[in-house]
Formats: sequence, structure tokens, C-alpha cells
Amino acid sequence: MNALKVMVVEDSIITIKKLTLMLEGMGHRVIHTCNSGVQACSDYIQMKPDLITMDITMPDMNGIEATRNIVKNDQDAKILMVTSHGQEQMVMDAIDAGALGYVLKPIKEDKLKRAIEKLCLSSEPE
Amino acid sequence: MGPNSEIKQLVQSVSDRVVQFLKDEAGIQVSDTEFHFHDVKRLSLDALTSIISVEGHLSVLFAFSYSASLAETLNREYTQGLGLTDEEITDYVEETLADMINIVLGNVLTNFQLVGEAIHLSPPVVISDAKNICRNKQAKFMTSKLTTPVGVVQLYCIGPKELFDQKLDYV
Repeated sequence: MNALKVMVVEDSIITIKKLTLMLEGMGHRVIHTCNSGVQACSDYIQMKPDLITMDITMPDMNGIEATRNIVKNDQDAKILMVTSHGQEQMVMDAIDAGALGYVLKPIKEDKLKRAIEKLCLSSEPE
Repeated sequence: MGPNSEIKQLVQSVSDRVVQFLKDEAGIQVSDTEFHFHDVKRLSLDALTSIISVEGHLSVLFAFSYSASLAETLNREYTQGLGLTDEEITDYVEETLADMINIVLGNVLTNFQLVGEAIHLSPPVVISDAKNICRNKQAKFMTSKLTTPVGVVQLYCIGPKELFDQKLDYV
């Protein structure tokens, strides 16, 4: 898999650090981090990352709304939800909003790696 | 299932998940668990308390109140490997406690959803000024006390959440 430019959207500093370590350990590059849904929507346009990891529970705008906004403007956006919520309805809402994958916290490196590989495969042009 | 028994089950599940989280993420073993489902008249908050609001068909607040020694050990273990200096690590204790309550509740609520309903969580807050909260007539408290070799955490389920603000003061 090619190295991806990743934007991490997450309001926990510890999770940002953990995700950054894991992603960079896999050979990807974290090019930007932000801690709110509103900021994610505006920063996405500027940063144009290959992949976004998106939390759900955040101040101002939650990750599902942010996903919906980003995908509305760029249908090729690749968004992986990284969240503590395992509720079926929450997963369905995220997929419905345009997320391509879902990883449950606490984050484990092997789960994250598999989810990224799956997401990249599923979004390859046929 | 009535709302009271559902909340009781929720408290038990949260308690189980906290035991697991402490073990898996920080190598801390819980040696004793004590539940109080009836006649809890007072919340005695310890050194640090994280709070999260649950919104859905269950509408309650959860507060996890830690002794200083447990919070410190948990933080040190949870942030291990992040390349933080000893001085930096102490700045992360509130972040660690916020992460933990968010992950525990997010995971546990998977088993308490209704069809077609998403139960929402507020961003967690952490307070450090210990205080006692006495129950008023409309409020209900259920608690679970977990004892570890490095300190204690009390888990409080508080309802209805509309009665309290995020500092656990009555509204």
C-alpha cells in the first residue's frame, strides 16, 4: 500500500498522539490534526489528505455531521471513523454520511491497519 | 425491562468494562467491586472526577471519581510509549480520565440501544475540586466502587440528568 497523507480529526490529545505513532509506524504521514468538526470541514479543503480519521463525539459539530459536509463537497473523500461508539445505529449513520470504514476505540494497531487496507481496497476504481 | 432495572444493568456493564479497561490499558487489576443500588444518599467525590452525559432513551449522567494515586498510575501507564517526559505526563491526567470515560461508555452503550436509536454522549469534562453531593427527592444515585492495589474509583450513575449541570451541581 502507498504511504497516505492523513488528517486526524479528534479532540483527545492522547488519541491524536497514539494515532500519529501508529499511522507513522505503518509508513503513512500525518499532515494535519484538528479537534473539531467545524475545523475539519474547512481544513479538509486546504489540506486535501488521502485519508481522514474522524472521531464522533466532539465539541461544536460531531464527526458524523462533519463527514456528511466533507463528502458533500468531495465524493472521493476517504473517511475512517475512529470512535468509542459501537452502536449499530451510529455505525449506520456514519456509513450513511459517507464514511468508508469504522474502527472502535481503544485503538489497536492491527485493527487500524486492517481497516485502512480494507478502505483503500474498497475505494479503488474498478 | 423497566427503566430502573435497565439502569442497574447499565451500571453493572459499565463497572465490568472499567475493570477490563484498567487491566488491558494500564495493567491495573481490580481486587474488589462493591455495588450500591438502593439508598445512596450522598456522592463523595474524590481527587479527580470525569463526567459524561448520556442522551437517548436512557438519560443519565455518569461520573467516575478517582483517588489521586489511581489517577496518577492510570495516567502514567496509559500514556506510556508516547514519548512524554515525567513533567509532561502529569499534564495529561485529565485527558486520560476523559478518554477512559468516553471509551467505556461508548463501548458499553452498544448493548443498550433501541432499534433505530443512537444514544449520544457529551464530550467528557473533568473536575478536580472534591465535594459531597446530597441527594434531593427527585434524584437517583447508583454506585459501584472498584478497589485496586493503587487506589479506588467510584462509578456514579446519576439521574435524571436534567437535574444536574456538568459540575454536578443541581440545576
